Amino acid sequence: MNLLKTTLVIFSESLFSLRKKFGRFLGLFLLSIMFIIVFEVAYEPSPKDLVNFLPGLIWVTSILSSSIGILKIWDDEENESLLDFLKSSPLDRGGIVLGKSLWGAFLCFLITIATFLMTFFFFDYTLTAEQVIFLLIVIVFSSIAFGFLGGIFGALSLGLNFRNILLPLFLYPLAVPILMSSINITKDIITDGLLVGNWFYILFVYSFVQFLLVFGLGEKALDS
Amino acid sequence: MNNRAIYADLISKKFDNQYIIKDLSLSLKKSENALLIGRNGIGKTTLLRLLAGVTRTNTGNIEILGNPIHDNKTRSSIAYMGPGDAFYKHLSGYENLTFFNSFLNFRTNKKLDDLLKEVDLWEARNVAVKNYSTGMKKRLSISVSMLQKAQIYLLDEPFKGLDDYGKNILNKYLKKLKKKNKTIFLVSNLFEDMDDFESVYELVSASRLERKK
Repeated sequence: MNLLKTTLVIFSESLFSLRKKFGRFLGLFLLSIMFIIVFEVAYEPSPKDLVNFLPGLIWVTSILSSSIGILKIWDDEENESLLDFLKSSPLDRGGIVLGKSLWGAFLCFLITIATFLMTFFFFDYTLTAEQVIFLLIVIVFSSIAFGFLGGIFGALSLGLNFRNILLPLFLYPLAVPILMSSINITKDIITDGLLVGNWFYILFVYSFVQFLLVFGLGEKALDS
Repeated sequence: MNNRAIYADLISKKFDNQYIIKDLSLSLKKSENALLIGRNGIGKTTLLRLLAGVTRTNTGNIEILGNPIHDNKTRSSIAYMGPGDAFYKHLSGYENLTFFNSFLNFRTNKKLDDLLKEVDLWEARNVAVKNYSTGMKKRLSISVSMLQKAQIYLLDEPFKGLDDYGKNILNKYLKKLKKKNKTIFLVSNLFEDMDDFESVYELVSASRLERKK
């Protein structure tokens, strides 16, 4: 089975499983809301401060919530027998990693969208249509970067002792460029309505590098 | 014409600098049904995982039906049944079978129903696999193996955890495979009747595989 078909098979299994693991997804969503409510109650920013304050709050919240989801995307395959079976099947191994990474990116996308909506709702902040489109573009790129980062490192760490401790240790430092660029781009969009700048190039290149890593090293990561 | 189903040439595999398999060679011809026995922890499962292409050898090479093992097309001619439960435990038996069917064989829903009836899991088809008993999980593994239209069947301890009823189902399945001239390489310490097999191999040590029959 070729790479694309395998990717679709693995992605659709994860999507189907979401029905069964909906409680877990809801938990991530509630965690985001809790963060936002706590910040809103504890700190009442003036409208002037709000533009400096909101991007950081949104992205730290969504990256933290997403990371919990990302750390779990290979949970089923941690069962060695299942992974062995998938590896012995005609599925393309690179496609297995690509499908899981795509699922991770989709999960990030959903959580970040929910965080954005909730934040703007709680802080009563309105956006123009252009700003919404720009924000969607940033969310897509940051989701790809973070989801694919989690996908490849999740595959590399399968079968390792202390995986649950090691994986966040690798994941969080590598997520810093995504976090910094996303915060700064969001700030630029909210204040000046600008999307393309140095931070956008950094996010674009970073997500492209993550995509290439999954594409090129996916099979080797699973073999290792 | 090449009549070899499995050909392993001087293969080695080591974990933590210790050889589990060392310079071992093995050749099984097409439609041969062979049994692999050996002490616990001697490396039978590792050997089968190498032959299934699950893990790579450190040295040596493996050919399946004359083709290199690490090729997606070659792997479609192998049906591997590991010793553990290879399932998504939150999904039901039927959902697992449907998922595996989506890349193994694309059989019809009717055929999936028949398979579940054959292994006596029809009543429990909508129950999550995490709630299955050991024997039920093993029977589900058998149905996944039945799903495949492979040439070579690598079965690791398929009788383990099965009661007499389950063993009966598996024995019938093995007979069917033999009738269809499939190559079978079965690992077991529980198999009493070695006469059912054309050849019996014993893994004596990491570097010694003896043919007993």
